[in-house]
Amino acid sequence: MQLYVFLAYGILVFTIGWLSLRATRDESDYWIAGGRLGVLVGGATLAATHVSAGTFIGTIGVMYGTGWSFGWLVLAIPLGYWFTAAVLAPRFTRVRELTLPAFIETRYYGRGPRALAAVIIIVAYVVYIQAQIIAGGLIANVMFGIPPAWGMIGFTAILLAYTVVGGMIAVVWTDYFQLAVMVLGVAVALPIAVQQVGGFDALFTLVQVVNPRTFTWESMPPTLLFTMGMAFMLGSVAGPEKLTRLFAMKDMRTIRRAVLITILLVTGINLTVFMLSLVAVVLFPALPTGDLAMPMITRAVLPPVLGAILLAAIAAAMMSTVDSLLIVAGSALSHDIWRTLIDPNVSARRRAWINRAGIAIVGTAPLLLVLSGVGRGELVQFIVLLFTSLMASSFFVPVVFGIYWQRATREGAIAAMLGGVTATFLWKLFGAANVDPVLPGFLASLGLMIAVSLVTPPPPNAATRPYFPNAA
Amino acid sequence: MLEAGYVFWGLFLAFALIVVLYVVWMLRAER
Repeated sequence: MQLYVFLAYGILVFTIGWLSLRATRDESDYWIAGGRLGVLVGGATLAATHVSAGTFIGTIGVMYGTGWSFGWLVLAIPLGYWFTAAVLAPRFTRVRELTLPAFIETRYYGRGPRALAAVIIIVAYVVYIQAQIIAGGLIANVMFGIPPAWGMIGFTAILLAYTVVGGMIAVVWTDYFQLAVMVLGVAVALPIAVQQVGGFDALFTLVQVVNPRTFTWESMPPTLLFTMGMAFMLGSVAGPEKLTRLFAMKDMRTIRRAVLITILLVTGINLTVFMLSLVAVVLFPALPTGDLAMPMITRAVLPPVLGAILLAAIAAAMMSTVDSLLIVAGSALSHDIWRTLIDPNVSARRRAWINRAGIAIVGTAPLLLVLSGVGRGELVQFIVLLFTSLMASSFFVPVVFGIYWQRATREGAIAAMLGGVTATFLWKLFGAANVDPVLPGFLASLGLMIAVSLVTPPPPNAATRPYFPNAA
Repeated sequence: MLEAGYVFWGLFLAFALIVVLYVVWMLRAER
């Protein structure tokens, strides 16, 4: 029965992909949905992209272990999105590019920075997609009892089918639909789960009996909490899959409203997940790992049908994130690297095929890597957090300084991206565990941008004029 | 040790406040 539902789901999203193909006339349609997204679809796709399998498996796992101190971090997300809508978007969208690396080339007048940004995106996204695919394998295993490897292959096949065929238009419309599944899943799960423990009052009393540290600050070092909040905030702003969606939306008014929808949905889903984690603390106090909290709730707390809906919600969260990552990583490979650096004089007809090949490659690589044993056994949340920190420390400074500091130079941007990535990795490997790597990564990126820009020749006027029209 | 219920609903109040502030900002930005 569940397998048929899943097949029907696959056929539905593929139909959306096929219809999108007919609506796709040029590359702007394929990569940014023609820049025509309205408030509802724009807000929904931003939210669906943000909420991933990491939220439903990893975040609830950390909340299960640490309690409300981590719950507060959720509020860093709306602050990040406000920054996007109020500070970043008005200038960032003055030139409607197709990809983030294209913005980097325009503003930093060189193919070098563009290629560097594209390489960072491809490497980071392949690892991140791996984490999501692993989670997908686990979901399929719980849902259908099939081996995780087959689940991973199945999810990848469905994802590639509609993303390769329909591009961004297919992604935003399936996101819209998948977000509805997510909201439905948590909305039906929460009241029943809370009911199981005897209502909210009983829940709070029991939580404090079972794990007295849940409502204290003791379970996580304050430095780690603060720096993780910073990673959430900066990552919400600087993730290329989010920045690209700003190009996809119609105008500033649309962006402001869409971001309001995103804030409501993302924070709302995260807070619901937080409540579910408290239920898990009471009902399953001794789980070996927090990552099991959500699977336990779907199996042992909810009736089978509702459990299946919640599992479908997790699958939807995973797919709606991966499809967006595929678009960004695929465009980095085919549009930014192949087309710009290797083969610039290709015909429009072949371009469409190269674009699709790019997505197929970045979509197949993570699956092959997982199946060959690379990256297995890493906690989903670990990879999600590292990815967020990496995006924050490589792209936040080049983007924000690019539109607010006319003096920011090409060399400064290269140094900021390289330095941010290097510092993040070094800190992750050798630094103190009670500080998230985003802090050293961001500071390195910031310091290098300022220092290197000041000692290199100022940027040509042509590069900065679109973003600083009033400057001399 | 904090009173769980207050802390918990405080989280939601803070979220509600952020949303209200965002809407106020949004409407002012469009005037």
